[in-house]
Amino acid sequence: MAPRSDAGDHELIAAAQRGDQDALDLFVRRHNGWVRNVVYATVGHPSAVDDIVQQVWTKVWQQLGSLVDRDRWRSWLYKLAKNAAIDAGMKAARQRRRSVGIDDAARIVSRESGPTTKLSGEETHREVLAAIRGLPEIYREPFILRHIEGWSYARIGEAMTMPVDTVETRLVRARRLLRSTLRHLAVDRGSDA
Amino acid sequence: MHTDDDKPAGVDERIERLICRRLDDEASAEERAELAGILARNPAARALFEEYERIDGLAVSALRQDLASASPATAGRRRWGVGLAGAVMTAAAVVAVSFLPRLWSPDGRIAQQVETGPAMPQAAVPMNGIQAGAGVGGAPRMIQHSPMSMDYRDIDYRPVRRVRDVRRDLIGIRDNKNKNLIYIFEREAYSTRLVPVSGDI
Repeated sequence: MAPRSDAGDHELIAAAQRGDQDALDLFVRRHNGWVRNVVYATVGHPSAVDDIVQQVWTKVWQQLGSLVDRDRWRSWLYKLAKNAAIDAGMKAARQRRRSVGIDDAARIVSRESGPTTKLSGEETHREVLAAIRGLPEIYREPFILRHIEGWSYARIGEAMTMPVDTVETRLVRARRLLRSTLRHLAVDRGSDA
Repeated sequence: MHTDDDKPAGVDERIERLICRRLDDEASAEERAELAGILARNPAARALFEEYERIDGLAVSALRQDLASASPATAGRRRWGVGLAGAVMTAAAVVAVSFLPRLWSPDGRIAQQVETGPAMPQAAVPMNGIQAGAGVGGAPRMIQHSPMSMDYRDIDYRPVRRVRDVRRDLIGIRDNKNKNLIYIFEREAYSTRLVPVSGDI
């Protein structure tokens, strides 16, 4: 019998551990979004995300039987996603960071050469992404989980196995760094609005 | 890296935290009221609040567009359906792949086919790391009669994991009559990357 759509995560995990594929499928549908975001936050680029996410779910399927403490499933899944992203994306991420750095330099030169030039929406978009990708990973991950998934500090802390105060501090610092990098956007565009 | 230079001028850290808590919907009613009073009388705090609010909006928009550019919003759901089937298939596929070298005849043709038992979840292996292991997923048994003719002479099977610039796909196709029989095709695609270069060349 297919699991009810409102079944709890613990219930789905227990059923999946007994071999219920429908339960696992429902679990995947429910949590695929944030797993993608964890992978995205780690590799810093969307191109390889879906391939890595496929690997994560395959690993979940293989290793679900080893999850004894079901209360900690979120941090368990987070670690699987994170490790898969690190394994698959480290080299690509380094290459991209280099190219982003060059892109940034080119844009900065371009902006400095034309002080009154207004940035287009596309340029703004690229600058913001470059700034987020430029954040240290410890700040970027909670920032993305908070802003894309809308997770509370407590939920981020649960997944990343860190105290809520640490999550809060990292989000404050992420904003500080982004403000420092994007101040011209925040101020100029803000005053335009 | 974070430095003190990044600290907003004229706004102490407690107020900055309150602003962030408010923007993240983590502030209590008392904290919201306190912050409202601060913003009303402290222009620097108000400016910081507006900047952070603006940055949050830009970030959400940019991140969503970026993620959406990778695949449609429904891709995860759709792909997992395929992925689950793929994983089941891979579990059985690995069994077949593990026996391919044994079946290689001197002239490069497959002489026999392998029938595997039902795919078991614990037999699944990572898609990116082929781990050929005999006996996985039920006892294979040999069958003599081929339902179709297949020529493997041009296939160079190399069970070596390579990551850099190589994407490896395993394609499994089930036999129409015997559902436990899966034909394996392996495809490798070499990717290239364009990296902007600056400076004199």
